[in-house]
Amino acid sequence: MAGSLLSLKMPTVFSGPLPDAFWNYDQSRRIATVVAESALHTARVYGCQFSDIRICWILKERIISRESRIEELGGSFESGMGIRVLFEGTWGFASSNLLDPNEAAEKTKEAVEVAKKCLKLNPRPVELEKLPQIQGQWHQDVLIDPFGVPLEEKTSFLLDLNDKAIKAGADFCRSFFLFHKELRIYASSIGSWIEQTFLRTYPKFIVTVVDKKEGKFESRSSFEPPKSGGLEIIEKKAFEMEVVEATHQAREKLQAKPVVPGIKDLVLHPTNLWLTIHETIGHSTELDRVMGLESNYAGTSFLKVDQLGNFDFANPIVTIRADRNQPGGLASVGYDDDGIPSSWSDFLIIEKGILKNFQMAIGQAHWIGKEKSNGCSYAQSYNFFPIQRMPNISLVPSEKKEQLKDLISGVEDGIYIIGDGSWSIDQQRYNFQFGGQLFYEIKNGKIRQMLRDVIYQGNTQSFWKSCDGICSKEEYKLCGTLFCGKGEPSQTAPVSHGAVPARFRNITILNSRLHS
Amino acid sequence: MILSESEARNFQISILSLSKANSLSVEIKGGQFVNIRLGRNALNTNGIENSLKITLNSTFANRTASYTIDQLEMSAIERGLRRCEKLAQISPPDPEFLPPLGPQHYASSFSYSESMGNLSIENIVEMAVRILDVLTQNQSQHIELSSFIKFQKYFICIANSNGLFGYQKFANIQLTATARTNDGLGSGWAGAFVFNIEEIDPEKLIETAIQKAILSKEKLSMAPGHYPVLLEPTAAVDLIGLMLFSMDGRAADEGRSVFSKPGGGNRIGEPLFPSNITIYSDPSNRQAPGQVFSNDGLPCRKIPWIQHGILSNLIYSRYWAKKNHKEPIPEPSNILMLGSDTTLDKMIQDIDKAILVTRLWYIREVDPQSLIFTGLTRDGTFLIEKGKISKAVNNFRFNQSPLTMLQSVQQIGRAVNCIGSEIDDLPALIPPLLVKDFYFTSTSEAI
Repeated sequence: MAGSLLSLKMPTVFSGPLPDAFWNYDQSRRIATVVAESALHTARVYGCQFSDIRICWILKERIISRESRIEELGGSFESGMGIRVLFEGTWGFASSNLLDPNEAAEKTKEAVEVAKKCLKLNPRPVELEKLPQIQGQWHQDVLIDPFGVPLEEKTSFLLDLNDKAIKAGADFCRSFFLFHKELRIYASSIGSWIEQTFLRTYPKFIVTVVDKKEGKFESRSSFEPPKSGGLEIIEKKAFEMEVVEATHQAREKLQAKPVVPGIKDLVLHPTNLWLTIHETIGHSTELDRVMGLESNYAGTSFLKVDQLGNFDFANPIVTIRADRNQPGGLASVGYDDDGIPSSWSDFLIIEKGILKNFQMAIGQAHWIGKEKSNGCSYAQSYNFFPIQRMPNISLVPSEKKEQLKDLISGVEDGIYIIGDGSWSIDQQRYNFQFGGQLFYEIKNGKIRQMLRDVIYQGNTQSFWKSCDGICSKEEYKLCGTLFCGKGEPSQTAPVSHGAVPARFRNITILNSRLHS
Repeated sequence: MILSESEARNFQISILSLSKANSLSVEIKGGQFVNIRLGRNALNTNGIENSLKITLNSTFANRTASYTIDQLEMSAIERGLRRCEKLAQISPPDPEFLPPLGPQHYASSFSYSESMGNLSIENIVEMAVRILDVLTQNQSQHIELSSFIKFQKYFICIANSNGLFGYQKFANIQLTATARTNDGLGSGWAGAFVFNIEEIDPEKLIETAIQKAILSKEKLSMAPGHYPVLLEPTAAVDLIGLMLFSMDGRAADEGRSVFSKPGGGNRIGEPLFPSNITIYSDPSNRQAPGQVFSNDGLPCRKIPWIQHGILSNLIYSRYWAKKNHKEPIPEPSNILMLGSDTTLDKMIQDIDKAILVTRLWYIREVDPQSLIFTGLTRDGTFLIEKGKISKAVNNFRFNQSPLTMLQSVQQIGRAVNCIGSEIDDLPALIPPLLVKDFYFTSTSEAI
């Protein structure tokens, strides 16, 4: 990544456990060893078929600014363990924030007791496939650890950013940094021991301009997504230029022409398309949803098990890949929360338009006649039961050289959308509606004036069937979210989606203010 | 881990004594959280979480920072406190800084009862068994049921070096269930969020979800458009709640809210709604009790947000209130809407034609200027004709402002405890609403 965020005093590149004064890696490992031994031993004594434990140390920092003020400066350090046992085919789970071998034994007993009590609720015993025994380590590559950068540099960066926006004509500018650093140790009754460190960084600004006389206001958010990595993910100069540009664009939005609703072609920038991929393809291909297990909350899916390998999901130019190894990917890890190596998570979900794979956690593969999962398990923290969650899921660029201007030149009447806005999709992932940050009219192959109030609606399958243009890899961009929600109790998960600009034909465009 | 009031008070005193800052505020939240999740008529996952979190907020002059830890040992707390103080000392001065509040008087609350607090994992499993028993009794209906039971028992304690102290205990249960016919054609939902164990009836909830699923199997295809709609409380609470959390006084005064007045100022005092609309918060409410203090120690009291149709209050932070010579008003800790004596069934009997909406889903803001939200209907959408539910209809996507929705309310039913899909952790007492004009922009194939 070219450039850097701050005037850094520690440009050391390290690929290994993240050094931090607040936790001592060796000490953490020693604690984990006795805690895990106690938990797994107790589970064995109580006759569990399988047990695993996640032990986490989590360091977070949150700096939120508004104009010339730091509104919130907060940090946290949390640690604890979550123990999952499988007793006579029934899961039991208990967690505690106390990292102590006696507590581990107690919580394991509690998990076993829960499993025993729940036996009568479970006519379908869990069937686990043969799991790999792993001794492994994986550590996020980090160039600039934000926790090692002086606080003043981070607060000044945000305040300077706000100042630039105000000087450029913004009435308000809010900006923030979120940093999440974690050591997660996994151990299981089959002898796996996995140590991983993660670091995720999220920078963001939102500029707002107000026309008080008319009682109108418009905002524009930054396009830089959260990523795995340190402050090196942000290019300072580009971010500063963007905040000025964003202010001008927000001002332009105030005067922009309201969109005329109708059927139009769309060209979607990766900063918009990532979220559409996430909602329409990411969630619909989760096997637990397909099987109905999420029906009380996140919903099910329009897909059926017997459609695997034969469902005509998208135009043949569309291929969607899952992975856990893209640099910067929020779901890039060495092993998932079932202890499955990331090499199992490299698979095609859609190949040339056809549905090829569902996402699976352990215990699910046999539902669709497969032998093993594909490493799609995640728990938000130590106190959550691991459930099936997305790896990085991305649109594969065209092999044919194709640029954004080529897509635009093929549009007679359309809209080019940059940035993500409002988003919503039904519980089976058919009907969606998305907004954006910036909208430009396309007429006769050329980008014209800015539009406002644009939202697009569609149906997942027909939308992806209408895709007739995909750019080549030069325009690839990885975007994502730290806060994908699923499960009960609700868990958030970090996930990235890579995309290139793509074109979609005959999409329903609405005006958000007229259609209310 | 639950600390009693005296244990929490002593713990706070120990923590406060460690402070080297000008002032320190402490929040301790701890408890036990038990959950059972059923999926397709069997156990899916479960969990028992024991937790305790301590949030420290240190101040040096007008420099402030916060730090959260989840360790109980005083040595770990002291390390966290030193870290917090270090952050505060190097944080930029806060031009909006106000010193922590002194002692406050907080209202009493019905948020905890011994009968609820004494529930155990056995009771929760028993509830799940009763749910599956209902399913067995309805075996011939070929239902796939998913359900979530969440029992939480916890306390929150706040204190600061200026003498403020507050303590509140909570114990409540949420139970939600989705029944789907196994041919995939019908889906129904029911749910409850109660603080009194006597008020939950798992069998009745499951029966309701099953009946809605069966009733929704055969659907009439209806086009999108403007319709009169009868929103069940669980649907209404989401849009009302999302509106309440958009009622920030500062945003309104700064011209970036639907509650801003063109030309400057806000719309407090304006009759924005019909006179039958009254929405308020009151943490002392018995059925839907709220938290009696805000995170910064402000007392939560009875606040009318909309009184007889007039916008009465907006949320005011301590700083913004002081600057504008107003009383600070914290965010609502519960949502209450004045209803009538008319039950949902009676309302249906009186309707000639309307769409009945069980619940809404995936609600997101589309336009902050006019506070338009989008979302979808889900798990039980029916046509009411001549006083009866005549048939099920397809689901719809809506683009709707809660303001225009409330402006076209024709009839208000009896307020009941409810749980929304977005407003799912805030106690609420909301009536069903008959809305004259609700706008559906498209249909959804989802079931």
